[in-house]
Amino acid sequence: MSKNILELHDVSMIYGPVKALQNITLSVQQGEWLAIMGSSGSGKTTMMNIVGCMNKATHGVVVLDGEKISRLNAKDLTAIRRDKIGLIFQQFHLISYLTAVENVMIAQYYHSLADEKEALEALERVGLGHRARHLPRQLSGGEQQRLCIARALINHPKLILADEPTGNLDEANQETVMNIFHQLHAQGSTIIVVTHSPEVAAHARRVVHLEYGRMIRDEVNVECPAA
Amino acid sequence: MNRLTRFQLIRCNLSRKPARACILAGLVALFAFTLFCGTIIGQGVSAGTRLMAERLGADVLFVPYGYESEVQSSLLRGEPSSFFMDSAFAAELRAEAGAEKVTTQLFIATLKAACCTLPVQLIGIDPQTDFVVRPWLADALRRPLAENEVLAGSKIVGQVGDEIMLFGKKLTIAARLDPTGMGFDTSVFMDIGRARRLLLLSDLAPRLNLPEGLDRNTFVSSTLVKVDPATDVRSFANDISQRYAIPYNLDFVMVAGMLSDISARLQAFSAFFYAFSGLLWVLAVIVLALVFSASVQERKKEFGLLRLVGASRAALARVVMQEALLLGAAGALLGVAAAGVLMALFKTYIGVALELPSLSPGFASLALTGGGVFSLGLLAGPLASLPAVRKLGRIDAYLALREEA
Repeated sequence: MSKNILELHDVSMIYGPVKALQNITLSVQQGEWLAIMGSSGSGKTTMMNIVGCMNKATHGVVVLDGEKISRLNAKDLTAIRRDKIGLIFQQFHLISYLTAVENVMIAQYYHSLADEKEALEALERVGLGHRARHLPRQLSGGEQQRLCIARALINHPKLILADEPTGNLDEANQETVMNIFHQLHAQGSTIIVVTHSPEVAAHARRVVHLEYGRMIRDEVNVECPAA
Repeated sequence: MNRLTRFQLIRCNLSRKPARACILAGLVALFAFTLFCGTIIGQGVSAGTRLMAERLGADVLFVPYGYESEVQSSLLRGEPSSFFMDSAFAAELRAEAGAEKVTTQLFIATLKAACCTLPVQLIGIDPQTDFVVRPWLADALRRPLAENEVLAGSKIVGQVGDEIMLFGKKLTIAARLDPTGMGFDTSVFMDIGRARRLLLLSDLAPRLNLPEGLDRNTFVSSTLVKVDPATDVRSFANDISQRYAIPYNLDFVMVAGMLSDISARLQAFSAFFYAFSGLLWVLAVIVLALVFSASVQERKKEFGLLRLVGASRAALARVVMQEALLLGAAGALLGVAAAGVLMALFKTYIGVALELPSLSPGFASLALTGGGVFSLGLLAGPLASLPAVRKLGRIDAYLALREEA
């Protein structure tokens, strides 16, 4: 049996009168592909912030890769995020004045040491080897998202956290990105995708539904084979 | 293998907005330029004034009435001029109480000389009484000047032993003076009697308008007095002037007064430059601070992303501060270099335009001033980036990304 890469025990996030997240308890196994679904205001972004070490829960315990992160300070959370999490965004968030390969290397730079050879290999893996010297504005939306994925993967994260990864893509590019996710999953990566799209969630083995900050359903997608 | 460095990141970002980077660096350059020029000019004048006081050795100069400014121009800036008075006054002055040393000099402006592209000032000195040049002669030339010998100022072309042509006569350079940064540098010194004879025999004599009744064998241009230390120089000069002004048609120049005029002008000049430089520095810091602050706001998304990929707040602060440091360094270097080149190329012109006697600082002084100005310019960048760094610390990484989305 695989070990849990992520555990949330009775996690809540309360801002004054607003209960953004309430009593969430959840475990994610290593190599699992989990989709967190919910409409706007359901708490999925809050949950992503907590899991991605971008915010701390007001209540409860969060354990990532065996380390209790719920009470760590900002500096330690930065280190955890840098070492263990690969982030993929809907808006890509690439640095406009750096080339594709440099955008990958920037994540290496703040992690350990920027290595162009390794960055180029990461671009090759997402089919962007030939676009390494292009600036983000010279890439299509799909290419920018693949670049974002290459950047997320470069430091071999324990957990890939994707926020609406296909939200800005057309159908063809959406398929390309999901294929990359399938490859990563097949290679044993743990993936959590936050989405409101049932099509994207359908690729995941397990889907958690949130509503008004509460987890209302945790289901296994039987049509999707386990890695 | 290409390795991404912080410097590359900074360079990439600066080159993204080259005009802004140039304006910011230019502002620091302007400050550095002004401060460097002001300091060098101030130092040059100060050094020249000190040198002149040491070399002149006299307290009061008596000159024909109306020639006070000519003698100052000649002594300070080497502007050649000719003026004449009766030497009998010097003889009477020697008998006056308080006059410790008295000597005479003859100032003759040549029209042209083979040694120089510009007219030179020929100064005749009295070897029997001279106390202005003699102390220097005693060290460098342990004998009196021969009939055909001259002493050459530091800017007069020729080595010791070379011959120069003055008034159609070949004269030998017996010794050279050290650079003084003043009129002495472009002057030639010779025996006063020989100078007088050369003048009267030259083509120049009819054009000099020698006053009627002036003894052609003894006339001089100025009488220099070293006053007894127990005597008040001003009282002495006033007293002599009252009694001798009319019979000899003379006026006087107090060397201390002349120097204090320079000092006062120097102080005013330096104060202006320092105030202006200070203002520019403050302005540079404020503008840089505003621009960096705006830049952090504008780059909020970028900094948010860098935080998410693992950059600590300190790492981002270093990026901003080093960017500011680089701009400050580039500006300061540019300003100091431009000022250095300008001062080297136009020091003579600047000296004349600003009526300053000297503008020849040594290498050590240049290096020290350049280093100091560069450091101040350098400091402007990081100092100005502090508000931006503070702002940076308040950025919530994920919110910043979502705000922009």
